[in-house]
Amino acid sequence: MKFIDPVTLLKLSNLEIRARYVVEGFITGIHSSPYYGHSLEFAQHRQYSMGDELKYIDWKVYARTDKFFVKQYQEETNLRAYIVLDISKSMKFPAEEKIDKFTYGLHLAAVLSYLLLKQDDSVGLIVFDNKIVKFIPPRVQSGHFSNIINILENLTAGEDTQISKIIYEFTKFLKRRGLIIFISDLFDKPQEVLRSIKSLKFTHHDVIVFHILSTYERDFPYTGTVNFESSENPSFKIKTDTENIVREYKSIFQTFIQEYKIGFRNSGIDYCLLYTDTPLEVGLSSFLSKRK
Amino acid sequence: MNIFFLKPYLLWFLPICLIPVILHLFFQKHPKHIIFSDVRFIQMALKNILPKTKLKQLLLLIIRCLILFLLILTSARPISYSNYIGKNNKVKQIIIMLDVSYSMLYSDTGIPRIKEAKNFVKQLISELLKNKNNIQIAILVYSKHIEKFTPKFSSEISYLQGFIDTVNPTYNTTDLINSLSFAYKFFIEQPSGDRTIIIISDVAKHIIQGLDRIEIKNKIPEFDEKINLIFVNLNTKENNNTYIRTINISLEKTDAVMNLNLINYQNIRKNWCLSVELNNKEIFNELININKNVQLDYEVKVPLQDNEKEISGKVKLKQDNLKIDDEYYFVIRNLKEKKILVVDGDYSNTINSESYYLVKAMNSLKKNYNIKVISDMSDEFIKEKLLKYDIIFLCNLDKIPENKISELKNFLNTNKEKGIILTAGDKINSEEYQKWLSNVFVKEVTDNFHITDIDRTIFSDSDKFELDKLIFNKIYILNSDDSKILIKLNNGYPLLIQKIFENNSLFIFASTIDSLWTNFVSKPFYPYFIEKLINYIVNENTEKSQDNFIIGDTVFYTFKDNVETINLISPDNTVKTFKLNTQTIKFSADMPGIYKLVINYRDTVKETKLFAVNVDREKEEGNLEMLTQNELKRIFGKTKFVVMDYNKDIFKEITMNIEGKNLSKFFIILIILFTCAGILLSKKM
Repeated sequence: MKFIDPVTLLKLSNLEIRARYVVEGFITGIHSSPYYGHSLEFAQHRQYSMGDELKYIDWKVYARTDKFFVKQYQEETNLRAYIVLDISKSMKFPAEEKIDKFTYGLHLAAVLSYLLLKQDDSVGLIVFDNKIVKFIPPRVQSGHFSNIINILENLTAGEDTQISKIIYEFTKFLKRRGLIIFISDLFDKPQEVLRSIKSLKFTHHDVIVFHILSTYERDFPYTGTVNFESSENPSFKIKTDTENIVREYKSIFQTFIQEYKIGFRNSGIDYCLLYTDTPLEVGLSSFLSKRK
Repeated sequence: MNIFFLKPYLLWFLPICLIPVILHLFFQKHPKHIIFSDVRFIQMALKNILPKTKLKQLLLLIIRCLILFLLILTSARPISYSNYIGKNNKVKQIIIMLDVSYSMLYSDTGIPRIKEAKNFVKQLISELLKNKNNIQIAILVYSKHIEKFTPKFSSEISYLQGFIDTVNPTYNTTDLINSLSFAYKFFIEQPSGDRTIIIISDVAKHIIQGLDRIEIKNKIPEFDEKINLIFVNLNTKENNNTYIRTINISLEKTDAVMNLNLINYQNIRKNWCLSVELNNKEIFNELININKNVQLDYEVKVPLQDNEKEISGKVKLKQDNLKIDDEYYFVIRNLKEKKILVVDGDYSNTINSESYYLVKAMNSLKKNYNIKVISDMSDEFIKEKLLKYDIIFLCNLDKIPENKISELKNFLNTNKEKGIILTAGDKINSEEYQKWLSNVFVKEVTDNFHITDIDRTIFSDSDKFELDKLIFNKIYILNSDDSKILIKLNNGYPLLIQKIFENNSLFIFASTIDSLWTNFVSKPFYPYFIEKLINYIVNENTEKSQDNFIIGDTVFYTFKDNVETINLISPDNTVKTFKLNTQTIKFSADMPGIYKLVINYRDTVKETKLFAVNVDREKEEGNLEMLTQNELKRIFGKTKFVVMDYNKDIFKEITMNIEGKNLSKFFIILIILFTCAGILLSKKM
């Protein structure tokens, strides 16, 4: 099965098409989806109030009672998925490359949204940096994907990250247990991040973490003396001779990844490490294999 | 152990060692600016490796500085030296060669270099021998040859210093190779221990000219590369010397024309005051301009005084730092205007006349001679005062008037450098000549005569002419008793005889000097014959003697029997008296200037003779440009040699050079080791 290189994928005109292209191609590739959708079921009537859409008015009841009632439906999907996307400044790296972590994350979010919606699961979107920037409650309607795409396409990188704070913050939006898809570089204090994500698990949510990292962060391909400036804190600068630290850096970076890997594994949280040169299908594959 | 440097001035470059530190501190490469997602990892990496890296960087910096430091130390020629000289220390033999050539008279501080050199050698001896029992010194004083030397090596300070006190400058040129040869032989004759030659000189280009290594080995068979050479350089870069290189003097009737060749060995174009003195009186003075390092040909014409037979003088450049070659002494013999009288027995302007041919032949002499032609038949000859002439030709005269005979006798006896040439011909009446010259013309003979023998002292170039083509059809047989035959014909008949009278000579030619009896006049030999004969008469007494010498030439003079003593007055007015056992004096002139010989005859008559002596300029002694290290290297090859400038540290430098151990190799090994360590360290980083 051939995967599409993320850079090649960028040549497609917009995010929606790209997401469809990846998912359709992927599904065709695996022939069937392991998920089955559920239709919506009528729950009760509620008296009409200003602002309710007219299409939800039950005209039969009006004919009988001469009062406006609107129908309320109970979702009967098995899954309420929240895609939690990190758009902090550290995600906008490497700034000079076509595929940075931010772009990669957007695409992954789009692809996963499409995949879930296609399977009649409801999908919500939470976009954050050091605060929740956007929140779209999970829905399953056919136009919902366009909403998500519109939001994703208009996103720009935000401020610094405070993952643990954000997790505690958005937990209050989660009315029912569901699937939380976490897309982030997790550049925060690992112990705090692990603790907060574990708390989601304790509240019976399924959690899958897509850890997005740049090849530049992995390979550290710099030479000579470089003045490094923190993307999230411009006043934080370090000047160093890169040849001297490359080995030590790689070691520390791997330790950082390992810390998450082990932490999530021990907590039964699915963890998927994706580099910006990894085809998105690998992420999908990883997701689906873990959701079987 | 002390460390000393042979080229300590190079230690001034030691601050160069700080260049890596300066580069490290101030000239680091401008770093690239990169915005990184999370610098916390870099910070942690840096924190972990920083102490190690800093240590390595520091080490690398120290190594770089050390390499530079050692490079500078090595180039300064480090010598390790211990003050302790044990009993078993090897004997060290040193030959000190002191240059006393005239270039050492150069003085830019008011003290001539030779004087500085003598003081230096005395102090050097004292420094080298102080508290040492293993050093032996010999001294060679040299110029173009060895002037004097100590017969053996000595360790006695007072003896060696006393020897130096007896050294005087000479006016000779320098020939270092010749003198070095003597030094190497000296070592062979008295071999022992380590050997060093210290040459105290101006180390100028003239001391060794055009030699390379192969030639020096050919010139000095004893040349030994193991013998250390130390040149003590008394020279400076700014030499101030312009001098008169050569002078050619030619005499015209009343003037001396001097063609001077001047050379400016200074680094600046300059005006020089050039003057000419004759008999201590300045008669010419002009400013001339000579470009730097340029030879200038310059012509000076000075009038001569009539009444002086010998004129001494000097050409003088305004004195510079080497004064001795700024004066060029000369002696010229004043030819004045010589007068020749031709008395023609058959006077006419036609081609048959003797005087016609004679005047033609004397054409080249016209600038120095005043020639007058008269007929023997005219009253003019009767009235003519013969004594005012220098040379008289009597050509084919049938007789000589009686009043003229006594005049001719006086002519031959009274003045020097005069002569009469009597030629035969068809008009000669031999009986008429009896009153003056008895039986000189014997008889006429007719035959085909050829020259068989010729006096080469007068006619030195006669071989160049085809003498066998000269035919004399008729001659007078001459009575050659008491005469010298100068040219002889076949059958033994003389063609030219010389009768010597008290002071002057009578020359008698047996044939005609026109075309009547011979084809002689139509041959190239004829003008040569006449010219040489006249020159011989005029210069008879002086042509063999020389008036101008260079230092070191042997001055040689021969005198007549009646000379009793000769006083030689030198330019410094010292008088040396020669009592003549043989009729020659021979001596070597050792001082430039005008010398005067006072010749005392037995009959109390005194005569003086001047001659000039100059320093030798041909060997370019006045060119004081220093020999470069490369030139010396080319000449001396693998020999360990060092050139030391004369300064206050030189005694220490020489002592170290002789007694110390060269640390250069050790330092080079250290440099290599540090370089390797630096490379390894930088790779690991």
